[in-house]
Amino acid sequence: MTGTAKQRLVLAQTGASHVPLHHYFGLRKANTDNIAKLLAALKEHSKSVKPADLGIIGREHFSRLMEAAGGDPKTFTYNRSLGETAGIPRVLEFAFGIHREGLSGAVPGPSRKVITGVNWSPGINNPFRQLGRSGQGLDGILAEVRANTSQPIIAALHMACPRVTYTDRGKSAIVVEGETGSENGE
Amino acid sequence: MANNPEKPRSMAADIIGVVREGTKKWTKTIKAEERSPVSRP
Repeated sequence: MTGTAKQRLVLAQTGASHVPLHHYFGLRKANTDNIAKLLAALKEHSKSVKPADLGIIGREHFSRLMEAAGGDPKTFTYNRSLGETAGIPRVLEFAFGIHREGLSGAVPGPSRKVITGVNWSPGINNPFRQLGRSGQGLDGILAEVRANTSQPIIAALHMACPRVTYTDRGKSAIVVEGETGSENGE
Repeated sequence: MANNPEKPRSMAADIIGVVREGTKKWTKTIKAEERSPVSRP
């Protein structure tokens, strides 16, 4: 919304031209009708953001950090998924590798290391504790793919999304909506 | 690696998808090892 022509269109459509902000948004109480009108006009006159425009950390960065954390570069894998739900774009990046000491058969070997992050902020705990309606979290999925806590693996999952809903004030877990496919026995 | 034409739509399905895809080789190896301990490459 940088073009002045589009800005004029939005102002004309919302009747906000030459109106002070505090009058438009409400002096004592938020004017939700005006806010909704402005959002609708902005959506109408602007293009939606593509998932890739959110920013991608990339294979090279994950690979470098995985190796620094003790991961074996030959076992390194990287996947990403670009998608959107109801016009909200998102980028998911997942990196996986086996710890070098795990491959050498050292006893006791290293245990699983899972690093998670949302919008470039690392999680203190795993924020992906419940995925969709299935109730299964990232830990459950990792266990399902045989990446249990005792395994010498390193996994990193990062999500970028402009709208993230947290389940608590400490922002320790996020709400991940949607069907997972496992509810229907898929 | 990037956009899969059969990509699941929901965020939950996307997360499960990238984890399963990224761990595919590992899971295959471990399952083979579970069936026969000498099968590990």
